[in-house]
Amino acid sequence: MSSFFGEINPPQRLLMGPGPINVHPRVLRAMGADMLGQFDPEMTDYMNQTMTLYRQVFMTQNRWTFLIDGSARAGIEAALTSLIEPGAKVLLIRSGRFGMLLGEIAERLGADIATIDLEWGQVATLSQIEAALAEHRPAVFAAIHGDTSTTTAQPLEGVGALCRKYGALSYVDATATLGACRYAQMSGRST
Amino acid sequence: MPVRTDEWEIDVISAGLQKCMGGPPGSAPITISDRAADFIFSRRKVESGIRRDDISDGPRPFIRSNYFDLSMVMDYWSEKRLNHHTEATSMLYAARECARLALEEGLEKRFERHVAAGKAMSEGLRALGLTLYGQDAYRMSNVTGVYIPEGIDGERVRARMRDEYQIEIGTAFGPLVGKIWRLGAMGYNAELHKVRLTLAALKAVLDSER
Repeated sequence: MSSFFGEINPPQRLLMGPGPINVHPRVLRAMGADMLGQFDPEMTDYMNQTMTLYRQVFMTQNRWTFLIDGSARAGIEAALTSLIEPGAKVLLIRSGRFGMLLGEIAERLGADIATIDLEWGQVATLSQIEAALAEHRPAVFAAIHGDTSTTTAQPLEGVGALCRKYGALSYVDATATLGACRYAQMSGRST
Repeated sequence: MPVRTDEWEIDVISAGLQKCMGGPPGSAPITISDRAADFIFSRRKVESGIRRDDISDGPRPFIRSNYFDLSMVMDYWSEKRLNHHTEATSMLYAARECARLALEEGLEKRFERHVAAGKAMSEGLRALGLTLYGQDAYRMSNVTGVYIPEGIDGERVRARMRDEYQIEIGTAFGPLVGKIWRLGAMGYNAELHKVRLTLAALKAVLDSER
């Protein structure tokens, strides 16, 4: 028995949840452009341009700024898989679904996991983070910037410097915040 | 608090397109400091079928994934052009256009637009008599949690929002299941009129459910 389905024709729905959201029409048009050979000069030019553009979006001079093919989780998994050696000590903040995901991935990588466990929706203070870094001396520190499961953003000012002081490489997932996040209520800690 | 990689001195940050960047899911922008890249290259193990004289394996335990081996991915994105995976061409186009849009708008203006939309959402929800989840001081601008009022079936309200108004609002995970809805206003949708449409529809549905 054969099945035949209609053309993709979704309703005009307004996506006002935690994502995905409606895509800008210019982005949809760009996706309709034709393929290029993998190493054609036009293709590698587009790759280089994309690196330059994302350095600005990430507010960084990092040479190594590029794309991982896959959803946001592919970025998380690529980072953690490449940073965490089997048996390495890893320190995580867990205060929502996505902090727990970091732990889940680290566990699969055979990490020796230490955690700052907080009630969902709480944030870790700089002194809590420093105390945990000093106690556990992790090779890798990982946290979520904006955890959509709790609609809460973890302040990160000063965290990178602390990680360097204690010899840890630091990782942050900014899936929900890249391109936007400031605290909604414009408290004193907004920048 | 926008993402300020260098100011924060965070070594690796990854993201996605499907939220504030206004794109589809399927590409994850990533940025890596030189010190983290040096460490990752020390774990390099080049796939046997594409080995070449100018790229050698590192001394440390190799990365336990081929697809997610950032040393090979970086060698692909560098002038070495190591033939690792085939870059997802259409997603590259999408990611490039998302970044062009963000920079054309101006990052500061974009942050302000999200703050304005988030503020309108949280103030509007409070004006409906609802209670927000979480702490104001740490609330993300682009997604707002709100408690489902007592006596209201949260999933029924979401279904009615979708069926009667073609508006999607979010459910929740873990300990918050059945307790909060999550309403976003991000990327292409971080606009006051879209927030107001959402609030008006939510009010109409809640009024008729009570």
